[in-house]
Amino acid sequence: MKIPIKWLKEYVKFKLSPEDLAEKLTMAGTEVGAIEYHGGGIENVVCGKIKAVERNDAHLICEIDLGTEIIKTITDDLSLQVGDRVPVASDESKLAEGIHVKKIALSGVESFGMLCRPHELGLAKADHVMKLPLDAKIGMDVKKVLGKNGIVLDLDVLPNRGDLQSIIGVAREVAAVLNDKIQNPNVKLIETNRKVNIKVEVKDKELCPRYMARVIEGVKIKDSPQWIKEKLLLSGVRPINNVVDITNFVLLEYGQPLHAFDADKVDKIVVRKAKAGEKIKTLDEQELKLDSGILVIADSKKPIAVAGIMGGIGTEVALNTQNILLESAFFNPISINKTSQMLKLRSESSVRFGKGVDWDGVAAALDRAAQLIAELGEGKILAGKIDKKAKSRKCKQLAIRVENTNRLLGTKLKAAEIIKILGRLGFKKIKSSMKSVTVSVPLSRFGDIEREVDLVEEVARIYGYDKIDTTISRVSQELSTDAFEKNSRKIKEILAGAGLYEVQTFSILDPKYPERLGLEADYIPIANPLTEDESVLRTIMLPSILKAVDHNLRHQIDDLGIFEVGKVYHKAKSYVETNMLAGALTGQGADFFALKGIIETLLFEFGSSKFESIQSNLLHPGQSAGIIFENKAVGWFGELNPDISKRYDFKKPVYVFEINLEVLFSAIKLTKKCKPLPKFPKSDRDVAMFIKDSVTHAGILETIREVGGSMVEDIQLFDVYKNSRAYRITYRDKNRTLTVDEVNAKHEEILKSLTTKLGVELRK
Amino acid sequence: MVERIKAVEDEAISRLNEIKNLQELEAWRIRYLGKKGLLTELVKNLKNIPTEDRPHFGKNLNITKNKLENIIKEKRVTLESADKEKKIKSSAVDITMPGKGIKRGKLHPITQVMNEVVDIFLRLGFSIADGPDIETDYYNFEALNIPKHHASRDMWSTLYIEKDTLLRTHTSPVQIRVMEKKKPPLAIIAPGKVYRRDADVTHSTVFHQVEGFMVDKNITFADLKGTLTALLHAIFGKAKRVRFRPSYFPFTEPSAEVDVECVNCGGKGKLSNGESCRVCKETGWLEILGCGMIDPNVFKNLKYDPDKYSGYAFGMGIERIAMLKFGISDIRLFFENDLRFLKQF
Ligand SMILES: [Zn+2]
Repeated sequence: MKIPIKWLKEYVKFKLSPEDLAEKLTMAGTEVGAIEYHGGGIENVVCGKIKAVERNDAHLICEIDLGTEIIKTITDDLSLQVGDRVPVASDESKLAEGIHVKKIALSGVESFGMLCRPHELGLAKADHVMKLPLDAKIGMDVKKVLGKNGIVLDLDVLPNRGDLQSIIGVAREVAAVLNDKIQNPNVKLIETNRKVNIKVEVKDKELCPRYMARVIEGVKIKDSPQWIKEKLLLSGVRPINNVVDITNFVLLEYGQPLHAFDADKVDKIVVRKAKAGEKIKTLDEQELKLDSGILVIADSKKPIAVAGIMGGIGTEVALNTQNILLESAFFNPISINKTSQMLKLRSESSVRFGKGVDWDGVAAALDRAAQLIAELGEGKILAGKIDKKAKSRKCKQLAIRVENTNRLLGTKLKAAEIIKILGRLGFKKIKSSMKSVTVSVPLSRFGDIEREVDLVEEVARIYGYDKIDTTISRVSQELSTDAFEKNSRKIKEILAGAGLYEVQTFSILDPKYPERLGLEADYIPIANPLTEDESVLRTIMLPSILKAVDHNLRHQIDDLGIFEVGKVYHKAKSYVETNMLAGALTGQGADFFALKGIIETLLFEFGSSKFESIQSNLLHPGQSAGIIFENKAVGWFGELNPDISKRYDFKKPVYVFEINLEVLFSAIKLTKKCKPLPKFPKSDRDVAMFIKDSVTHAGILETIREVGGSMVEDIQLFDVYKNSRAYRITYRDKNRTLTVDEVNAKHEEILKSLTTKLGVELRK
Repeated sequence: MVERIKAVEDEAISRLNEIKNLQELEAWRIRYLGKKGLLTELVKNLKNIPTEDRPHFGKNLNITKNKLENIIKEKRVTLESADKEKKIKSSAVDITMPGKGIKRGKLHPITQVMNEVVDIFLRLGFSIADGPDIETDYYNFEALNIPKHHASRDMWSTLYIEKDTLLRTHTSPVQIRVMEKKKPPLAIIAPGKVYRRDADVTHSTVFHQVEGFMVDKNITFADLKGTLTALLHAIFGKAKRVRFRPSYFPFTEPSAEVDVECVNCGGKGKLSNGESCRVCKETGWLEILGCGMIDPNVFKNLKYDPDKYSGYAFGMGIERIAMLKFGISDIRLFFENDLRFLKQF
């Protein structure tokens, strides 16, 4: 909401600087997003009149009269027409901060100067070249056209504060914040003797609880006076003609959307729901198909406006219009929001009706606009007004308890202070005691202030959040173990310690990932994705991990190890989300056993693990393994299948893993039990051998253990070269010291068994 | 005979001067003082000498022996210390060479900030809870006092899976899920991923939030202010000013937006070179989180008596805090996972 300070001061007097006012409003809940200084810093920009336009592909070549000379300028705004007044900047011009004159050169056409868009003059951002009022003098400095040094507050109005979508509403808020009073506009209507004769029928009083209208006859459609144009321009609205400008002006002033019909083109007004199949062509030339839920304004035959959202073509005010039917209404906010979403139509009107307008403002704004149309359009207001309403709305009465207010805020306010604060906001005291205050809620806050707690908030924000104490409470709740958090943090610390970097990836992906990985496309799609790249939920971590690998490889980071703890998503009877751990290793030092070592190190923290061979399309058939933790299959790892690698254009092997954390964490045994330390010495014996291809490490261990029995405490593989292996066997008895002869005999026995059973060739 | 002793002594001393290391010294010792050494041979020879000459001869022999033993002792000390020095010298290292190493990875900056926030609340006695990413319209909106077609729904641009099923737009549904199952007193934080249909340099379709709430008898807005001020001081430093200003959320009343003094310009709105601060858009303040007292309508859905219990709730975007803390200007950097980026934190 744009609030020109000069305009605001017509309703509330204050001496604060714009910055101080902005600070006060912000701290009372209405954030001032920006303070705009119009014309400040803008120099040598003048008003030009378009004399001729010529289309050249995506551009218009405009001939522009600057008063002193005529220039040719190229623009990409195709909406310009002959006769339009536009701001023209030249090389010597100064524009809003950070914007410079850009020249568009087109083959064969020389371009002088630039046509400015509103933000280039320090106004709100817009796609189109700014159009100045049609009576703006050619060659005049735009600062004069815009109103010199207009200062405008740009407010971010909260969704519950429909009452602040008007200058008067903001004036009321400023008055409350500054503890001051407001001055309402002085509306004096002069009606003729003839009475309003239009028939109005409201068929749906729930969607339209109040419908008012007046008729003004003999209106001359022409340009608005400068004082209206200036206010509209500063508020970001383009002046069109006096009647349209007045409806916009009153919309800004009161926050009440109005609609002006050409009274001669409307035989009667029926407010009803659209019939299935009905259509309407709106003012912006769209043909809309209506359905039966949508509220319309119709004449005796057809819809002439989508209620509260947009008028139709054919009944609008045109240059030859003489008699005006002016509508002011209260439409059901929910219905307006629904229709606006359904038709994808948003307008200044729909936004205001959607937040709810002021019940009393419906009448006040109608009179204000009728008065202005009569004054500025030399028309006559017919006697009386149409006012069809469900029932009169009365101010709601609400009680606020003193103790409850202090209980919620942590304050020590008294009844008198509460009455004072609410009084500043226009809540009138009905009755009060030490314990409780009853007030009536102004109709402008209808729908926003409905409960005691809403009053508590009003008290808090005007009292000042900064005046409320800062304390810290604790509650005596049962301590939780937060096991998932603890374990996943452990995982992250261990893996980072092992040299891997943690990544954070999107859980929503490109739907092409299953095809790249040779998987079935059983993902959950998003109905309204922002982009195709982020349109399905992943069923597996791998594609996210590979995306991160791919990014790094493309940026010449060839050696990397990464991991992530994240979720995958499946649809069964309901939606299932599973916490997973996944990662990848590639480049220098990366191989199957490097990754296996990391996984072993990780699982060693939680319990005992082993590995078994598996078949997976995701992995290299000769370098793939299943991970078994405490006898449960928890995941897999190995080299990424070379076919997939090729699809990603990875030049070196990438080793990947994925572990289901839900299964892993549930398999962790909670008890850790201490075993006594050995009391007697150990004896080590080494064995070196050549093995056949069919012999595995696991087979060797098994053979040694089988023969060694309880005498063998530990077996370590300490050297590997091609098919040569060297092991160190540790012998120990927990009850006595083993003799040299005993150890030698057992060791010989083991060597013999290795030779006969596995056919290894012992090395001396 | 005495001459022979003298000759051995002279030879020994002259040879000793040429000795350069411990091995030569040992050879010298064996030659003169060893079991078969020259001096030892002379001692053995005593028995061939007339008895009356023996004392005189023996005395001379002893003097020479002691002399040589002392000399060798001294020489050994000199040689040993020279030897030690040489060894130390030869094993000196270039301390500027790189360490051998354990290559350590790092936690993602989002995780680092998330852990920091979570740890602060764990110390304040909060427990962790979580909820699903795929939520129902009921938990994400309706139970939080955001009815269908209400103007406030525009505050969240939502990604839908199907009708009434969506990707949660905030972590606030966890409030409802916890309060449905448990009774006060409660102090809960819920970290997690959230989704919005919105993307640019400061907005990401997927990002992280931490939700927190406390419900008991007599929990006040002052408690909310105290707790969040403590949090922000812990994250951004005690010297930073914090302000609470009125705002609107359908699920809290009163509601507040919390700002912290701009980390870029120190709250001045302008940089030291006079340029305007882009981080805070010249306001001197950074919007950090939204919060408020839980709305009685939320309690009513859960059958909590709002006259008996009160509570506060807050939600904050972790990426936003991390961006401000680390000076990151583009949110997309978090999710590209470029190692050159991740190594910096
Ligand atoms: Zn700043």
